[in-house]
Amino acid sequence: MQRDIYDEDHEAFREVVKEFVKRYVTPEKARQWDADGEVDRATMKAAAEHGIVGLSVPEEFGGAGMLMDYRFRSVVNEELIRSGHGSALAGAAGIQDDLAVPYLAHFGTDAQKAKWLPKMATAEVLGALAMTEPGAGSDLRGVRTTAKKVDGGYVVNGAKTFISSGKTADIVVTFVKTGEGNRPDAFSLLILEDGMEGFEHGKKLHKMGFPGHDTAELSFSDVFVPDENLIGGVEGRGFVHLMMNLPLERLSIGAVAAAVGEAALEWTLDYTTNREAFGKQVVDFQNTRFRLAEMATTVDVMWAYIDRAMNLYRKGELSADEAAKVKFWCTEREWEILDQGVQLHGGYGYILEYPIARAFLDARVHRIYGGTNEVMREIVARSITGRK
Amino acid sequence: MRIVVLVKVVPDTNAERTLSLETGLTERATGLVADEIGERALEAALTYADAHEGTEVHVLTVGPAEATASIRKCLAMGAASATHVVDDGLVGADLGLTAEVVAAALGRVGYDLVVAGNQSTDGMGGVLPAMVAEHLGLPSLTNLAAVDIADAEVSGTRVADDAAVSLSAPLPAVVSVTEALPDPRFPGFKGIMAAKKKPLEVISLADLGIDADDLTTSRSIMLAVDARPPRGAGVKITDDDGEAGVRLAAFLAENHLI
Repeated sequence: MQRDIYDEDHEAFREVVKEFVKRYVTPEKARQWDADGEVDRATMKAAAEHGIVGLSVPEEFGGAGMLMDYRFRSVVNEELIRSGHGSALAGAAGIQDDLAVPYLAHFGTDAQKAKWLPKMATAEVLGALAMTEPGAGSDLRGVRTTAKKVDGGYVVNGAKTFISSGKTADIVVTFVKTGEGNRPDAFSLLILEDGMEGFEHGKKLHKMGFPGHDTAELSFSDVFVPDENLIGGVEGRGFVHLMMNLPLERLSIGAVAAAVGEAALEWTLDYTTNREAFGKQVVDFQNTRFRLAEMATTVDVMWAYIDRAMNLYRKGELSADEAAKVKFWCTEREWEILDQGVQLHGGYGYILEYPIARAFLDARVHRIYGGTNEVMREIVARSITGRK
Repeated sequence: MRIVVLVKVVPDTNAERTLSLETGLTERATGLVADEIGERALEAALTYADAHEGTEVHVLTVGPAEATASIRKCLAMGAASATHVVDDGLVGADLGLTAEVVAAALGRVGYDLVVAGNQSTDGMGGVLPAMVAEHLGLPSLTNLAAVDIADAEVSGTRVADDAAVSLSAPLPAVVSVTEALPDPRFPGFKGIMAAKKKPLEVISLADLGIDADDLTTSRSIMLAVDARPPRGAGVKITDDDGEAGVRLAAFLAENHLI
């Protein structure tokens, strides 16, 4: 179904992303990222040069100023994912623009914005967001990383895990406990800089999917973080800040899921059209046709839902509860489409040279991170029943 | 200095291209793109402009209304302004009429140097830059594999089968470039946004004082167009009597292939 949220600027930008993919996101490059476990910085910088990374950085700091408009970001997701080689880059770009930049752009002090955002627009500085700990994931108030107030700053102790871009990031927006108990105002966000004494990027984690995008453990032993690195300059606002960015985080995962679903449909259509069995093309068997029809319809409905959510987000009206619905529903449809796509690819669907196989493995985490889909259901249930 | 780059908008070579048997023209429904050789010409101009303050790069396109997006792309790449000649009288225009229009438009826009691709991907005429130079009475350096622009002169190298020829001409001049030139840059987000504010003048044949149907000027006119006949089945020689070699040789001789 024809989507109607894009205008000629988005389509012109789509051509830019396509050209970028042609020149920079080659199969060789993707293999290199997989082998290195991370996207190389030169590619990130080239992407930033063309506005593919840095979209959410405000214009006054050298970015595109699209923090409250996800459409250009979605175009980036769509074209990188469609290529079959760009999922690692899509992931790295998403961490920068959807998870790191917003905390500085929305809540940072003027000094913090001026110091970091211009370099984030060019990818000279990459950011990450560290919330999850070995003992606290969706249950954020269980975090144990502490930041003790000392003269001129904080001393941070603790550990974080499953941090996307955790190895390549130059700054990590870190969720820490600055107060007693687990009241919302007991938490703050601190900017931890690569190279600070006592800040170790632990081992790179080996994952089921996304081999080309780094995920790391971080540890903090008596890391001194100056006052100027307290996001917003006021203690106790960390929890509120996280809550405020939840709509974007959930929307972004849903939008990626829709882009993957669409790509999976294209790959499967292409494969079944070119593959023969029992003397005819696989696409001509009734089962294939029915499954493709279901996949195509699901993709349309996902986009209808995502496009509506993007429009609400643009108006500042997408609530975290609504975004939770989008996140769990779209990632589950994505999973079904990929499973069907793998099946229609037959044995080749199990071979990692085929994008459908890689996307299948990559997608499994979509139902887990950004708040598990079970937690999303709890949030939705709470919003409709009014009961905790 | 003002450099005018001629950019043709052509059907995307990555899409299927079909010839309309009614008009003899390529069906344009598949989407139009700026011809890649035109983008290379633009790159040569922009590279010079980047290094020489006060140089303005202007894009000139003769083509259908749908060419706008491609012209905007050229502006997003870095051209300062553009002129788009659109007119129903230009549908199916031959090289003679196109050259007349381009020359007239150049006169209106003003130029110190005109840069074009050596030939378009669709028409493949390869003579338009020379025809434009003839109209304007300018020196013409064609098929350059390397271009060097200077204040008052343009020079370059034309690579022929058995020699490389160095050429130069005083400005104003017309040059055409080959695929040997560096890959064109491609725009980014900021270029796209900046392009929206750049001047793009749309003009018609009347603005240029040209009558497309002026029969006192020679024009090529399409008399008939036909699809290429489908290929018939070939001759199959099977070796069931040990004489296939002889029959194969006879077949080749018969068709003057040996």
